[in-house]
Amino acid sequence: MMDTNLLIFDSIFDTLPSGMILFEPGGAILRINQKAKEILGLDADTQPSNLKHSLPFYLSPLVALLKDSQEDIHRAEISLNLPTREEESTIGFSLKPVNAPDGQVVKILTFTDITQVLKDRLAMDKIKDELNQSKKLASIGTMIAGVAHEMNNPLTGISMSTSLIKMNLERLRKLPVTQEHPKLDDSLEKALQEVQKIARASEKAAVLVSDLLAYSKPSQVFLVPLPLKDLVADIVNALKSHPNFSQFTLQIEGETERMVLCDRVKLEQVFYNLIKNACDATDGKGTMTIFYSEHTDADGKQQVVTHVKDNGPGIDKTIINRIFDPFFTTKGHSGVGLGLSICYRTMEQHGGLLSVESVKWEGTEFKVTLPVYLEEETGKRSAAP
Amino acid sequence: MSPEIHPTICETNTTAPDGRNHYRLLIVDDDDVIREGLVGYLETYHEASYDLTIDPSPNPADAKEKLARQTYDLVITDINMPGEDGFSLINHIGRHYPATKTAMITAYKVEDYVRNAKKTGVFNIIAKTAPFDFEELSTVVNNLLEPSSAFGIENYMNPHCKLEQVVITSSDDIMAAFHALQKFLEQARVPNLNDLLTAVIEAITNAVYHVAKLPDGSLKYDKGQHIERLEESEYVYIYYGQDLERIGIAIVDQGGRITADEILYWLDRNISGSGLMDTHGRGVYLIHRLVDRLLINIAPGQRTEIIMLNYLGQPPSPNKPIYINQL
Repeated sequence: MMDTNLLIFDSIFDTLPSGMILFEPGGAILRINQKAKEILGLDADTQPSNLKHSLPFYLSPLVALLKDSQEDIHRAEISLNLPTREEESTIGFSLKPVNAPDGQVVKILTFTDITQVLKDRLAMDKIKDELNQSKKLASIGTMIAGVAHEMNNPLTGISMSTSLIKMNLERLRKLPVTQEHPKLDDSLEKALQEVQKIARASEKAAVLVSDLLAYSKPSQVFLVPLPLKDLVADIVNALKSHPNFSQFTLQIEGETERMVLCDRVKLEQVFYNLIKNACDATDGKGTMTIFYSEHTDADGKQQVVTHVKDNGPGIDKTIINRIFDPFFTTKGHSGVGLGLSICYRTMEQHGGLLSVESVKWEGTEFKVTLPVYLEEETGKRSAAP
Repeated sequence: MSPEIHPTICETNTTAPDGRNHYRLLIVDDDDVIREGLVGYLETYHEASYDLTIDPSPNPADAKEKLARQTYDLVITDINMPGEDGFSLINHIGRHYPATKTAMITAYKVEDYVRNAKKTGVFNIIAKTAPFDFEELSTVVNNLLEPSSAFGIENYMNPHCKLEQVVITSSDDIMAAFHALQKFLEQARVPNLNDLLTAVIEAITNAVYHVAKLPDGSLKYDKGQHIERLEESEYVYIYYGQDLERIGIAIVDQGGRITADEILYWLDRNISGSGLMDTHGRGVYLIHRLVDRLLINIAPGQRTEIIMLNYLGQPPSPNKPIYINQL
């Protein structure tokens, strides 16, 4: 009768979906089920006697935890480097001391491998975060559009009145200087200078407003197939001759024959922003190297990557996750913080991706990823007008 | 220097005692500063060849009362106003005062109003921008009041600006013209050379291939087809030049076939995205997007002028106006 009970107990014990180990009062293992062996990476025929008084060395964190505990442990987690796994495993366990009839305490350890569960949970959290982020951006976008439009009216008013004051002052200046008011010219000159300041300030505000509008309401992309290298070469050559980039070294290494479907004006803006940021970050004296690579994405689609790499001071780890957020800027008063977030969205509109890697004090590398445009697709789309 | 155009309509104006034309304008905007700014500027600065009386009005209801008492040559109205909006006012004007010309002005994105503009028959939308280009306003008002004077790129350039001319008489001339313009734009050191060249080639090919028609109305040549020699009436004229502030390019055909209504139709199709797969009709949208200022003058059956202006200094606001002048 006892044997039958023990047999039933053993088979239930071994088919449990969780790992279970019974410890003798002295700490030696009394029983260990199949699932426990599987999780801990032990051979299936391992007997409690093989384990003697201790578990293998890679389980030492677990042993240390069990040693002194006299109390219940509910849902604790521990990380273990199991020989059967490449990456660290997370084990969720609970420990229950049970008073045996003879007054001694037997400990029951129940555990499961929750590595995958945790991973899934993290992935789910990330998706939730991204969803929240895009919801947040959408509502910020609506608000910005409203504010920007409302600001445009008074700004136009300021600009109009400023121009009118200027025109009138300039007319006054053309009048002959009279003996009675010798200082009139000085005052006029000063007034004109002040008006000029108002004009400059309102123009600055107007640029901000138009940036806000561009961000809040992206215009339609207009995709046509173009050779990627030509587009990159064009923008590089245009910037090379620009005085602001005179001390900045811009070089293209290698070529690509790939065509991409793109909105040239918008894609040029992406490269312009990346190059200008690098130039700003290096006080205009850095070096930027542009090169290409290719890979196939998870769906088997070919992608061409334009690497835009600088030797600037790099981006700090603490902020690198935020650089594509709207209004995030490291440029103090000279930036609104929309450039990269507009670039990011432009790349999304192209079915591509903008990503960044950076090593502090060594440099930053942006990757502009675009789907390769294959000639076979030509028939499906109408050609450029 | 370019073929003559014959004005087909007479402006509805009175003549001032000094022999100059006299026009009456109504400017409707709920924003006092902007309304008074527009009135103040135009009263002082406008073409010396005519006299202007300008009435300000704070809203469409007031504007309607003024319109009932007084004949106006031109009404410029804001679009978004509390209560009745600018489109409703323009519909009212179209029904009761068909001789009165209309234009709109907005602080919002001009592109968003193209569809309504087409429905309402408004072909000119001025953008409220800072800095505000009063000179451009003056030009647009002048074009609305005396449409035939809008023709000719020389009206948009500094008087001392020297203009070059190229005549296209065959398809080979297209490439020659393209190279001449490429050289011109390179010398002008425009930052967006490729955009402008795209716009230019678009406008030239449209002009060459859309004007020549067979007696049954169908196109005489397929786009890109070799043309040994165009008829003299099918020649396309290109004018270009540069002054201190801008470069200007005009593509002039002698067809005058496209209508303002069609232009707004194509603009709207491409702005809304429904025209992305269209095989033609994108040209005008592309040009509108690629150049700083696009002005289109149409003398039906006689001439179409595509005037492109690009500023050499600070580029103007990306909120681009729409200026179509159809006789």
